[in-house]
Parts: sequence; C-alpha cells; structure tokens
Amino acid sequence: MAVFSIPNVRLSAVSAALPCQEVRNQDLDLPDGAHLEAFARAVGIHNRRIAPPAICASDLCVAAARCLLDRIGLQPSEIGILVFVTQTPDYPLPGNSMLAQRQLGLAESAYLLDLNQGCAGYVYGLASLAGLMSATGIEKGLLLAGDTLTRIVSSKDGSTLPIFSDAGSATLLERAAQCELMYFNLGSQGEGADIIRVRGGGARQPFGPDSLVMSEEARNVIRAPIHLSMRGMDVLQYCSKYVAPNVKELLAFAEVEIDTPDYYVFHQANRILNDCLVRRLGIPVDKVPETLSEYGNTSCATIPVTLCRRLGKQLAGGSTSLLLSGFGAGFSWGSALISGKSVLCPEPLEIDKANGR
Amino acid sequence: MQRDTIDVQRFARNLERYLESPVPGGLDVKTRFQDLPGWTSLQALIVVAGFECDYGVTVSEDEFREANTVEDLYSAVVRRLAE
Repeated sequence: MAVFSIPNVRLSAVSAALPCQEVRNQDLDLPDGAHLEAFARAVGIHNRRIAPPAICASDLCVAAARCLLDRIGLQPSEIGILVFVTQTPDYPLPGNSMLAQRQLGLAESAYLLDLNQGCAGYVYGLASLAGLMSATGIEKGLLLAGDTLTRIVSSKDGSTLPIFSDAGSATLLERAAQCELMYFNLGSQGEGADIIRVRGGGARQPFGPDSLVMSEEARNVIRAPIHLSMRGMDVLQYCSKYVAPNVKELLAFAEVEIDTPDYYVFHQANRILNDCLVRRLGIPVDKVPETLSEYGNTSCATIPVTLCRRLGKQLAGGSTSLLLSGFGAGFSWGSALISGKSVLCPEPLEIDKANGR
Repeated sequence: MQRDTIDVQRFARNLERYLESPVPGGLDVKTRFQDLPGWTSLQALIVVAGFECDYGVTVSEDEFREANTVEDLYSAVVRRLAE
C-alpha cells in the first residue's frame, strides 16, 4: 500500500493553459444527435477545448510553465527536476520532458522524467516529483501535466467524443525547511488495463492499415483500434470500489477528519462519476469545485485547471488544505493531502499558437 | 437501502426515475433496454450510477450487456448485493 508522507517540499505555484478553440457539445454531429442535450446534462459537460493540429501537450504545458516562471521571476536554469505526465506525447519518442527542456531552456544537468499516466497522473506526478526532491535535495522542481486526448478520440464515438478535451499545466514545487507534510495514497489495478485504452499503434499491435478500420462496437460507438476506448460502467465500478476508500484511507493516515480539507479537488471525469464520489464520501458540494461544464475532461490536467479556475484567490491567501484525487486509465488512482499558502495560481491561459518543434 | 426491501417493481420504478420516464406508461419488467428510444451506453451508465447511489452496488459492462431486460438487470443487482 503506497500511503506515505513527504517532508520539506511545498506547493509554490500552479498554472494552466487551454487552447482557444471551444466547441459546444450541443453542436456535435453524431448519429444520436437528438440526445446530445440529455447527454450534456447527464455528464455535466457543455463546452470543451480542442487543440488545433499545431498545438500539442508540450506546447500547452510549456506555455503554462513560462507564465509561472515569468510571474515568479525564476530562471529556467534554477529548475533541477522536470516531470512530464502525458498519454498523448508529441512524438512516440523522445519523451515530452526533453521537448519541454528544449523549449524552456532548462539546464543540461536537469533531471528529466516522463510518466505515462492518465487521469490519475497529476497526483502520481506530484508524488513522484516531491519524492525525488526530498530524496535528492534538489531545490526546485516542475511538474508538467497535460494531454490532447481529442486527437485520439473517434469523431463517431458518442461514448468518448463529448467528454474529452485538451489542456496543459505546470506546477512548481520548492523545498522548504518549515512546511507541512505532503501526504499521498497511490493505487493501481492492472486487471483493469482494458477499461480505458488505445489498442492499436503500440508495439503489440503496430500501426498499419488495420489500425484505421472503423467498426461499430455499440450503438453510437464507431471507432478504430487507433482510437481511445472507454468502458464507462467498468470505470464507475472501479471508482466506486477504490477511489472513495483511497481518500478515506489517506485522511486516516494523516490523522485528519473528513471535514478537515477546505476543498476536495477531484479529477473532472464526468458528472455521473463525480456525483457518486461526493455521495460516497458524504462531503458538502460547496467544498468540491468543478470545471467540467466549462472545459470537459482534460485528463491529467483537470485538477490544476480546476485549481486555477476556481481556487486562485483562496490559494494566494493563508493556509488552505487541499484533498486532490485522480483516477483513470490503468486502472489507477491516487489522492494527495497538501497545504497551500501564498500559492501563485493565476486564471488559466488561453493559447492559439505552438511554442515548440 | 436494505436488500430485503428491493422488489423488481420498485427497481423498475427507480430505473424510470434515473432515465426520466423513458417510455409512456412506464417500464415493464420484461422491457428490453435495446428497445427503448435513444438507448445508448450513456443511458446504461446513468442507470448503473443510479443504483450505485440507491443500492450501493454496481455491475460491470459485461454484466449489463448480458442483461437484456429490466428483470435481468434486477437479478444482476440482487446477485451483487448477495456478495
């Protein structure tokens, strides 16, 4: 059981970047279009952001990182570790951490790490970065977490198309002698590897003509092996079984009560899942900020996007206790209990052009 | 909700509530989900989320696929409750 605490590392800044292009779910051209309004109401997603072809996850995250470094007045050379979380890297290889290093101008001596994690990725990334900083003594680390899942969703898949959206984020952690512990509780169930996946295009089923063959897997669900598939009911089942208990276990480990965190910031999956989670935990909805309606499910970026959109003022002030919880592909899940004080957390940026190559 | 308070008729009324009255006259225990107007994987997810809330159990995607009728789904939920 990976439940642990990390000392002497603090959350200093969070920023997020979204592509300018917005689509409304009610305008989608799907075979069951008549039901899109009911769908939007049920999943709680009305608008989404779509990155144009020139903008990739690295561009979104680097834009967020530049904003953060500029606002704080940090030199890129001061960043000793960079962790990049994405499942839609710009290229099959090299990893996005290398591209971000080049775009940001980080030092050659920086420790770069790529994590292939989905909707639990922000919490996994935070835990990995904080753990590395604690172990190495490196003073400043950047977590970049972002995805362009709209690139890998079938335009004829009514079960995924109206849900996923694009965004990137940057989070700065710094070592500090006097700060509260960061608590983490991470878990995975590889038996659920098929629940959310892209079957084709990897080494097991290399890209070829078959990768693009569309088939109707269910009513209103037409996709090819190269596309993202998601078994919604199984996601709900796994969430129900693992996510709320994971959060409760973390709170018990940290010896705090369920009403201690000021805010519960959940991965923005869809309203059905998130409402279930809130009910399971028995927490008041005014402690649970959401951005689903406005931005949709941006994978590993939903938590930082929600922090920036909804909690910027609170985090800029005195100590705020945050319970973060992510869950998704793997099947994996994780929660973090962290304290934010004088955290720079500006409104999400909107970008319309790429930074990278 | 306790297991012994569930009966198939009440279960059907709950499904109607989750689906916001999908058919005039209500659901019959023999109603086939595939015959409901506009039935998609989302409606199925809404149903599963509904009884996750009411009964505290979920069924898997495969179990739902095998459950053709309201009665079949009721049986699947009762099996889950018995675990």
